[in-house]
Amino acid sequence: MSRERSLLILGGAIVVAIIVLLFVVRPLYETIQTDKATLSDRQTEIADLDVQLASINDLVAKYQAIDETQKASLNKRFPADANTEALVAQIEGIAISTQVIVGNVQFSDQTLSTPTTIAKGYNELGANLSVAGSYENIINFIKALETNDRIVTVDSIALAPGELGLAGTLKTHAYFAATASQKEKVNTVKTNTTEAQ
Amino acid sequence: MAFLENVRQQFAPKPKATTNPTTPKARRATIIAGVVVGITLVIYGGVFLYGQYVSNQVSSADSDIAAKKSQITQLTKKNTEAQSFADRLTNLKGILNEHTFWSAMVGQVTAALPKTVQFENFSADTQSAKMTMTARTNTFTSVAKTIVALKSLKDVVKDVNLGNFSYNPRDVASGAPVRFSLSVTLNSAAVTTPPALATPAATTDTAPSNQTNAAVGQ
Repeated sequence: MSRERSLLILGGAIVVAIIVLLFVVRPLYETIQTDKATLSDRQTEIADLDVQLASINDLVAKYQAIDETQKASLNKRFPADANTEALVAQIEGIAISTQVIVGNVQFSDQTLSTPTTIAKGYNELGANLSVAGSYENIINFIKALETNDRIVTVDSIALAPGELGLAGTLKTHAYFAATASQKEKVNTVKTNTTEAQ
Repeated sequence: MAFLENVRQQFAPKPKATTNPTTPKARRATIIAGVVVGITLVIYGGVFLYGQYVSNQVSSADSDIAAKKSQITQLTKKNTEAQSFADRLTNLKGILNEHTFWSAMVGQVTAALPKTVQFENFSADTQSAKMTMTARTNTFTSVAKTIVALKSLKDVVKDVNLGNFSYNPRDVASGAPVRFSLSVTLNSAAVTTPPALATPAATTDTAPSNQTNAAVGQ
């Protein structure tokens, strides 16, 4: 083999090597770099999902560990919806047991629309009760409302002499949970407030 | 002779042309070319295999993510239920903080009043933490005693203001009642504190059931 031919082969080999490195290995390497970046993103995502999953598992485990009677108790005290029929039935029951006449129950929803209620994150169901009865009975009626299964808060009491002793109006309100769409609204408002600050 | 010699040379078998022996430089160039090709192949092979490895890792991560997402989806219903329960528990704290116990408050206030005082009108409001009442009694002293009695409920009552007051000694002497109105500013914490935690009420001996019942339109 002549020296020239050997040099030609060497040159060819170098050229081929450069071509391979530039047009085969380099794109492959760039793909690998992209894949590595993707892998890094995926690993971050996996870590996030692991945290999320652990949190969900923890929450679900805690929830499942709660006694069904306690869940039912919460549902009674703070139901998922307004359930005015049940509230009327409870008020009637209290009225009968305390011998107070409830002449009228007027409901007004205070749903999550005002800044105050949005900040609270739950719905309030206003109920104005017209009551009549003796002092003792009306106080017992208020006491029974205060300790009712469903939480009823007495906002104001206005009593004056009446046929049965006292008559007047009790302004009260009960509560019910926010719906999923309301929760989204609450979260949006809270986020906007935080960002504005 | 010269001709014969010439012919012989022409027709005689020619000796084979000897190849040029490879020079050391040429051999080195060939070796270097081989090395270059070898290194290139090794680099390519290495990069290719590493690429395969990374690609497999990405695929594995993708399937891992899909599995975890599927796991989360399966738990979504339970999670929503649990989250809603947790939210409601949090809300419940706020609700209980604003819950009022007027019956105990009214009981405490009325229990502290002299028996001769009879309510005519009564109102109480959580927002202002005020009780306003119009009442009647038989003497001016009873009005003063009422104010003192209410002011003695220091844990519950912040301030007592006497409003309208009608008192005519001649009318009182003839049995006409003394009418007055009071505005009682309450300690708002006392309104929202459950009775069990609140200051014990005055003794039931002074409970005004008769007076108040008597007051209501009798």
